[in-house]
Amino acid sequence: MSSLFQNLLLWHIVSGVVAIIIFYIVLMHLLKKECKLKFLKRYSFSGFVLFLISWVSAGYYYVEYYGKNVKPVIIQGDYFWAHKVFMEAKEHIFLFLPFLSLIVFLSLHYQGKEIIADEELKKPLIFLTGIIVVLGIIITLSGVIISGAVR
Amino acid sequence: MDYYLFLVTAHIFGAILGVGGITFAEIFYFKSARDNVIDETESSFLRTTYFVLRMGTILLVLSGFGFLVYYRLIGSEELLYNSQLWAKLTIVIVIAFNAILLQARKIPTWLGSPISLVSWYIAMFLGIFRNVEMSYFQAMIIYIAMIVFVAFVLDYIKRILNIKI
Repeated sequence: MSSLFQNLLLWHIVSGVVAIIIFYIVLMHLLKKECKLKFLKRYSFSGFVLFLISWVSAGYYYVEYYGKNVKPVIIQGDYFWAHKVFMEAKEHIFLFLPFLSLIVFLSLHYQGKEIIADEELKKPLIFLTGIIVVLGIIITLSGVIISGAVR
Repeated sequence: MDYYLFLVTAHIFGAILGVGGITFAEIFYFKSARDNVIDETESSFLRTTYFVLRMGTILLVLSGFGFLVYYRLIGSEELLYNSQLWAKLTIVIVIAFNAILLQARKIPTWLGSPISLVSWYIAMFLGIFRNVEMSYFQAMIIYIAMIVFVAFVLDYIKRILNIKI
């Protein structure tokens, strides 16, 4: 693997994991009785940017390297299901995350005061943030399974 | 300092903060709740302990994934299917979701506290005894049995100290 693809893989994982941690922090903060809107806006925006970095670096790695060099190795090995099940699911679910995180940020940016003041409005945002965290964890674990199948 | 040594240092540091944090969170809770009132100073100590605990968790998760990347890059991918690694990943996820449930008050503290405490200690022991052969299910059975045991112990301590909160 060239250093370019090593770096892309590294950026994809690190920015993705940090983005999930950030949205986990946002979720925990939203569950508090008193929320700081400025904090939520900053964190959700940084989480969105990190998901975007993870998305772009993974996209380039997937198109230019994974398909030609990694996928054939996995398909021919004992753990072919790692690609057929987990990568096939991951590459589609993965597309949602930057958009979901953008929705959280935009909701907080434009309607933050109203959302924080109203428990009924806050609930769907908590739910959406929870979905981001859960999908993020599923995708991360899928990534570990796929990486472990390269032998 | 090479990459591997950096990861080991960060991982150990995260574990120290996490295990130390959760231990002192329990100790401070019992000390604070003895009079069945947690005043502002006690609450401040507890918040500081939780902050340290969260820092430990973040450090542990980041360095943990650093290891996974490292194994992938050096061609030791077989380590990613290690049963103890998956047991640790499961426990870290339990720690994360337990904290959410505690924050949302969707889990009683008699269950949430032992889950946090045992999760951190089991994760630490899995790291220390990584050369001991153990399947994923064996690790999970020990983990669940310890949660039940510690739940009884913490409940017993609460009763002795006459804590009702």
